[in-house]
Amino acid sequence: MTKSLLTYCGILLLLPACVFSQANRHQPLDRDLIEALEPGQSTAQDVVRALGAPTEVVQLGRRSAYRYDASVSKNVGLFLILVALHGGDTQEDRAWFFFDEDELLTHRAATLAAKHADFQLPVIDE
Amino acid sequence: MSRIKKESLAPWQCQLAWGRTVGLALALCVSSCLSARLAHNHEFEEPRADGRLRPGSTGLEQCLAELGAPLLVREHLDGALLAWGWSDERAFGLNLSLPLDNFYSANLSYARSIDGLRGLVLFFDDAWRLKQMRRGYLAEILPDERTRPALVD
Repeated sequence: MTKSLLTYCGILLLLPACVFSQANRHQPLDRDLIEALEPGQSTAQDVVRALGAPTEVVQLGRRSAYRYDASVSKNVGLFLILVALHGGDTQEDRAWFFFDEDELLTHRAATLAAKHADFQLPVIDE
Repeated sequence: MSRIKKESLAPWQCQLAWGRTVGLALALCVSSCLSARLAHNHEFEEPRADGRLRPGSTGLEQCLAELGAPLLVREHLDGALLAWGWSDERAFGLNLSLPLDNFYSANLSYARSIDGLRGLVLFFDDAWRLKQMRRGYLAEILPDERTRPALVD
């Protein structure tokens, strides 16, 4: 009886000291859509038709590169009387498409890591 | 001596003494005399460059296959630069505050952190051939933005 009461008291004391937050930016990128765009065949128009408007367009002389991204940030905090712990993790889905001067896709690269963002307190992951 | 004293105390008296000790410790803590902060912020994964990228011979395709999508692409002189960045910041802080007088208190704090976006920058010529690689803190290894004048068609 006393033991369980102490456990409940401990939980009640700790609960208000916990903070979890998550921030998402843009929609996650679709690997299948990205891989369907073939260098040497697809054009800038095909890329925009498949993925929508890019986040960024970079002019590289007569050539260009389009950037698509989406990110997930997860934060967790534990504020006890004496100690404050905070852990933050940000991961991103990123894709770049490089075009020649005729707007033909020459290279593409994608890193899809947004789903790997995690809630981690400093003492647990070290 | 203390054993004899303890044994002579009734159980309720022992509990009372223990309660006083805990109460005093809690009072010290609640008044925030000493506080500590521990933080860890992680941003993006470090790409795995296995040493197969060779300036003068490696092309853009192989670099992208090895390192994945870059954080930044920018025109640089006659070619371009691509940058990858990641960070793993850890911070630890201690704060001690002592009331000295009615209107004065002493405050001592200690903080240690390792921060900054680390990165890898690759420079390419106009044929997308790797010219140069730099590794370090991104703010230090990224050159100033210099683009050639816009083309007039």
